[in-house]
Amino acid sequence: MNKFYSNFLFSIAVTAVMNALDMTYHLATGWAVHLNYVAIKLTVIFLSTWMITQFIGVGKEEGIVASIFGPFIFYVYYVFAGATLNREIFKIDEQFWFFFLHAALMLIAYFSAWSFAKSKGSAIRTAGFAITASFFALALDALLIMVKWRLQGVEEEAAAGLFTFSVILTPLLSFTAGILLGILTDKLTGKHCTDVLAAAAVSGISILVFTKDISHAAFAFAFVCIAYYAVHSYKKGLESEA
Amino acid sequence: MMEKKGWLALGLAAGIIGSFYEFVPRKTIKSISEFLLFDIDVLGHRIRHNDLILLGTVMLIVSFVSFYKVYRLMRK
Repeated sequence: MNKFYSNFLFSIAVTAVMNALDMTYHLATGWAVHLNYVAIKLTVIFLSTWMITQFIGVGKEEGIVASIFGPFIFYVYYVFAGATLNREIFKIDEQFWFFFLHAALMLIAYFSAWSFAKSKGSAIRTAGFAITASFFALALDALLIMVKWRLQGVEEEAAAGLFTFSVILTPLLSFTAGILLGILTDKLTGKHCTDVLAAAAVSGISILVFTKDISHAAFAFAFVCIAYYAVHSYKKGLESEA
Repeated sequence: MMEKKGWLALGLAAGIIGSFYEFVPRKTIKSISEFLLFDIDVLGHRIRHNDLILLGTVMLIVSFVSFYKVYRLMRK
């Protein structure tokens, strides 16, 4: 496996998981989430993680440095960038204390992804995989929802108002259930293809049942497959580097 | 692969450019250098203040990683 490619996938996974955890927290506590800020956060966190991974390495020290530096530089961006959303209507995560929250979520994301590839304990590896794969798929799904609204011409502030915790709750539960079932299938059958199909099918079907949206269900199926592919691919790459 | 001096030079250059766009007030940047990515269209997209801040942020990331690399090379 190409080192660049596996580092790229690892950084994508860490960034997606960090953002999915962050979005879940914000929506659950009534803070606004909208596409422009998410795009900036994805860019800044991805670049920090990828550059450290590619030019320095993957490990505990690198994980801690990336987890502190990524959210810090994102906070710096917030301080100097001009406001685009009306702050009287929307609460945005621009206060300094969010740096600590973002750093904690980044630590969870980095070490979940890292422990799946590097940990010796089976339970830790499984937990790392469950968090990485399910929140990776959730991040893709949340992006799909926001991009869909943007393409439908929903205005920025209206989209931020529409995006509430109830919108993300069904995908969150569906992906978690799907991935857990996938892990169980893998333990029972030991066949790699079966667990991906089981996880993707359960996620897709439960989204179809709750949202009655067949295209959303098809995307959910695809997102679980992408998450499985990315996570297993970077694992192979990191293992071969060791 | 670049050596210590190369990383140091990259870190300094990226740090200076990044700090300029990130920390210097917009009016000052505009008055100093109209040509430095201000009021122009790139692929149909108007370059705004926040785009320059993002550019500065990216340069600061490059700078930090370069200095971190220098530190790691020195530790070897």
